[in-house]
Amino acid sequence: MIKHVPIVLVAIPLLAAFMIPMIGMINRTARTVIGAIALVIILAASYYIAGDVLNHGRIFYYMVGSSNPEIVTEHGLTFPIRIGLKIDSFSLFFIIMTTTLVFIFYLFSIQYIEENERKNYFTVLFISMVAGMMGLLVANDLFTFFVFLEILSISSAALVAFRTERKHPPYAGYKYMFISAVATSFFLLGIAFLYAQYGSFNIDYLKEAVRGTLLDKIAIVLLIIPLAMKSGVVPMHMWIPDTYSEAPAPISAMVKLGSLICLYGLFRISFSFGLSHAHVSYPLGVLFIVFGILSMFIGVTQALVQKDVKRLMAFHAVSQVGYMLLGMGVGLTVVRAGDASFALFGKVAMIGGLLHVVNNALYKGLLFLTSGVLVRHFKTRNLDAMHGLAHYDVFTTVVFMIAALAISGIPPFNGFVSKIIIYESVFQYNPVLTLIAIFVSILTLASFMKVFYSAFLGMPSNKRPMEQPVLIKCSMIVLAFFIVVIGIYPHGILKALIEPAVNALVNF
Amino acid sequence: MSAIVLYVTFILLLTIGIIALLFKRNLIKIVLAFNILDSGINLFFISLGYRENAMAPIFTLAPLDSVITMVLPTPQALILTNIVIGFATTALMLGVSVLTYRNNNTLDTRKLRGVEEYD
Amino acid sequence: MRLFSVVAIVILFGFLFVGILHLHPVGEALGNSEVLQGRPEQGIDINGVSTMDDYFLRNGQIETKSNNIVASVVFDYRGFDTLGEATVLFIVVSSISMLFFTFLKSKSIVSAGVPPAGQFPKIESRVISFGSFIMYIMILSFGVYLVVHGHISPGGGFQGGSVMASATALLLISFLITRHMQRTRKIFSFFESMGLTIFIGLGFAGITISFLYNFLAHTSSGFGRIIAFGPNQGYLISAGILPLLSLAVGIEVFFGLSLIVVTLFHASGVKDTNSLR
Repeated sequence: MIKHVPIVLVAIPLLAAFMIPMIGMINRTARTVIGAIALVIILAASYYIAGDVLNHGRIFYYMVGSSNPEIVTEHGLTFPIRIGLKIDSFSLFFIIMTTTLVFIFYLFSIQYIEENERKNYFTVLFISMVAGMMGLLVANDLFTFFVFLEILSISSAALVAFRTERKHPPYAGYKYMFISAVATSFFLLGIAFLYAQYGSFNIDYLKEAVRGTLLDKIAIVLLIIPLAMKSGVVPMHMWIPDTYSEAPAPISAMVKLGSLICLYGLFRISFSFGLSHAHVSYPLGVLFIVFGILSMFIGVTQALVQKDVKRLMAFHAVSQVGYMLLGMGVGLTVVRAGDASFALFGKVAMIGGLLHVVNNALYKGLLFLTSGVLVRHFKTRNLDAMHGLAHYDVFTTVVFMIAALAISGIPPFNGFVSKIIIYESVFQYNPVLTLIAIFVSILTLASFMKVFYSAFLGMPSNKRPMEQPVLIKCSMIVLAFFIVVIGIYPHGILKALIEPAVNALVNF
Repeated sequence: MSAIVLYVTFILLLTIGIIALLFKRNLIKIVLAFNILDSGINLFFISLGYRENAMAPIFTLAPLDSVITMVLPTPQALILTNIVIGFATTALMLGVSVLTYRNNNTLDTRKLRGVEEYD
Repeated sequence: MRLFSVVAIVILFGFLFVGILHLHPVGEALGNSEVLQGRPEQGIDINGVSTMDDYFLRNGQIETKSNNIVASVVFDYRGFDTLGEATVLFIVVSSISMLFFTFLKSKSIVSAGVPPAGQFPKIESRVISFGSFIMYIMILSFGVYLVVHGHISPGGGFQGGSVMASATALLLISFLITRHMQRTRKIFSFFESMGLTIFIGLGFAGITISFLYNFLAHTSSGFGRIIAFGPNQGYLISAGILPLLSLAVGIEVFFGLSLIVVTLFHASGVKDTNSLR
């Protein structure tokens, strides 16, 4: 049965999503429970295969609909004819991160979103979003990747516009849908250019076939730019502030996770098609570094001037993506430049970049959740109008402190670990890049000091905050716990997850 | 040789779509622009699988020749998928434009932009 | 900003132009085009098959027992994509229902030309009501025909489903079903998710071998009847689970698109007094 895990990861959330409208008509509790069960099943499945993949280096292949799903090429052909799914340690790293985090966000949303008939559709779209993410992560086929990218973006766009009674959320949803639609259209164009030459969509097959001609380069650019656009890299980041600030808090966290998964696609495609040819991989790496530096700097400078707490966090999301791109870009530039420099710092930079992905998902998710609590208490997003939450709500204060210190890279928390790894390795590539990164980190600390000062300190507000519901508290405690654990003992996750992932990426 | 018109039409549709996407200010017109762009890409994908003097890949009542030339089936199947996705995207975008108009009384992106409201 | 846009368009245009120049000419797609030459009657033949599409054209009919190779690609070889595509439609239907939920429930809606929900309009002309009823039956049966014959002739679940949904639009504009809008939407929503559940259930039915495995095509009677390679007149009961999947998709598309049409029609037919101001 273990061979069916790749399809189970996608099909179980889809099945739950299809059944929820029927079940929701009968019983509301059953609907919520079914969603939770689906998420628990994929969580268990992803941990179930973790040992096989990470320790024994097993790679799961699954050809959907084939009579022997583990055989990639049927009937003695040299190319696959069916849709392939694949789980190796790189995708498993993202799968474990995603299944864990979506379960936490789901717990948060159960009590955060008010209970009425619309919550049926909310649950459906939430579970479909998870299915889209899982489909992206297991797909080994460019067109399947495209279809699940659409599933992810359409359900996110609808959820961004969830608060239809307010003025701006529909327009924010429109903007996000528009950006996604254009991006995925160009992604399809890139697929068309590859299909025209090689007649296949399978990523592994195309990796062998791609020769690095001019047409291939055009196709790779057409595949990479849309994914960069969807992950919010700076020249294409105009959708981020609106989307993140207008969405309900758990959806902001989910859209953030979705953009990290688009980053997964970006890495996967660029490493698959770039590595075999140095004249492709080097410019790609430089492109990543330029994108990374721009994102870090412009994101944080824009965040400094914001007065809206959710917009501020949205710009920090842009800036944090820059660190990951910087680490991976440095790795990509030197991976074929000669083994000496790669062994010296390239691999370490990639480890830092990937560790920053999971760290960022943790503390950014926690920040968005706390911002939801803040907005719900103060009934405004304006920082000037907030004051004195620390007098009453110690729990939210502590949780926010943990997340804010983690994002600024202060030692006992996880942000420090990944940032120091990135600083050290990038320093050997080019010291100026490290200086910029440290400077950005200081500005991050400054802007979160501002949030802390205005929202938590100062005169206590007249209204006592209501006690947070238990599931909201639980989900935030779990996230904070992960942040602290990774900060204190990073070797566990580095050895268990990140290093196998980087090894798989290099050998793509 | 006359089939090159397919590629030319693709480039024209794509260019018209992009120009309209970037310069039109009305939400509905932007949706139309996206549709033009999408049909350009569909046309391109279909024309990749085109063969001169070929027939559709369906065996029902096909001619009983010893050799049948057929066009490639995969682009057609994928474009079927993309048409449905394009339709779905269009429906959602039109839906949220209706709501945007209801909440803001305008469809003009210049008037929608830069409104500061905290809530 | 405008200058930047122009530069971006020019760069993209140049990219595409260069790309097109390097592509193969139109009409000379990859692979070799002969389909029947030297083809054994049964069994998989991979001689001279160099691309995925060649394989589909030469072996699709034998392997999936479907005359329509496009249908066998859509539902068998790339059935997982089709599941995703049906999911996209499902998501959009749920989104539209969710987004317009409070809008349609709000009390402040007033009529704006189109009759509001809950009031049966007086149909002026017997010709319109009777004529559209006749047309409704005809469009619906044409849609059913397209869905059911998807595996032997052009058509299939999506096409037939959208044809059937256009019948719903006809009913709407001839004011035949504005009466029970809420209940109609609930019924449509129920059947839509039922269609998709059938689809994914058929996928899970073959899970002992693999997901979406065409288990019926590997029997030799009923839906799995053996079809000799080459042109034939088409058999309705053939092609394994493809007709069933097509039927499930047809149900889903019909009710889903109808739900979108009904909801947007309902939403555009009412104009609220703008609760925000």
